[in-house]
Amino acid sequence: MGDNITDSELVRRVQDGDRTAFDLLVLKYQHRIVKLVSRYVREPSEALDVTQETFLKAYRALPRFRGDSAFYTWIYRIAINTAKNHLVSLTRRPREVDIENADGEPIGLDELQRSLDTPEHLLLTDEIRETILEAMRRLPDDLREAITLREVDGLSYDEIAQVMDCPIGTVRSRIFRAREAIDERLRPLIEN
Amino acid sequence: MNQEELSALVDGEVVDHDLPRLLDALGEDRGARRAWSRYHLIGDALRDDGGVLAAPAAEVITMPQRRRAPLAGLAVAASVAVLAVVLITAGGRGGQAPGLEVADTLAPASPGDAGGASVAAAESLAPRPVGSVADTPAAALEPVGVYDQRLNGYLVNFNEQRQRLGVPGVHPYVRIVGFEAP
Repeated sequence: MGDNITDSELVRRVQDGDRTAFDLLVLKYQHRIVKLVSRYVREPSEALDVTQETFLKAYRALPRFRGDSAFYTWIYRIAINTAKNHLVSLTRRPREVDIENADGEPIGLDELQRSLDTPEHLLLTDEIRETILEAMRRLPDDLREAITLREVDGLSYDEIAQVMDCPIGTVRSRIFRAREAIDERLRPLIEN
Repeated sequence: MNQEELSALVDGEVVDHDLPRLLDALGEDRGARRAWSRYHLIGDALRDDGGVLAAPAAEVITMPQRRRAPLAGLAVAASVAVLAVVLITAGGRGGQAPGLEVADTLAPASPGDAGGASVAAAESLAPRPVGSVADTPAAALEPVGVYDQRLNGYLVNFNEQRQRLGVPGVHPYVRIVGFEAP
């Protein structure tokens, strides 16, 4: 299976009324959407607002999402349109505050944001980036190579197993141990 | 759910019948959800540092020329790295000349791409599945010499990015393909 299968399952769950599944999609894509939006909206606080608005629009539109494209492709377009609209109408359009869910209940920014990280964590700050890169440098070679092939080069576990000439189970373990080692340094930074 | 399962889930590398159980567990475990977010953040940071911008194939965004090098450069070099591994193997079994395969990887997506980078162009240069390399039509290939200079530039850029991450290995293959092609 692939990444899109996971997204498809999460989308299906959201369409069935599972809010937690939407939280997982937000947690997965929030950093990428902030980065994307920041290409258009330079002010960080505004970029975070536009990002929130993007996810709110996505949540509202998800019942009509038919899966003709990947979820990320779909929300990517929403983000760009939202950012462009923000630039055009910044001074004359009041910001949307509340929307309704499928049951007609209002979903406010606070509620949707409640289970997410604080906004500061959405920004890939220099400190976060440097912490991750320093942790990468400290990894044993085999772990560093495995996670690089996965995250930077985008190879599947099967392809990495071929490149590194090892079983897929070893690839899975190496990538996990690499993430854990990096996360050990990242977690205090995020949680504090 | 254990953390290794979570890591595999982040990569979409769990078997289909495990997916509902793992997503259920993830939804019920706040700590796991935070780890899910951090694991994705790690990936985003590594891709960001490598200059690879995650973007869907369908979207075409024209960007300033100065952004082209980190975007397309690493994607192409990553393709070269993957192709190199395949071609070294294929070469030993009587496969096509490595240089020709690399030249195909560097072919522009369209004439219109000459003036500015696009996400679609970068996507066309992104790493391909190993199995697809053999399907490259020979007629579409261009002489290697045309691309030598560009390829070397891409490789230098790629290696610089790799060094920032402190990643050794794999690159010996790149050197063989990049600098020894006829």
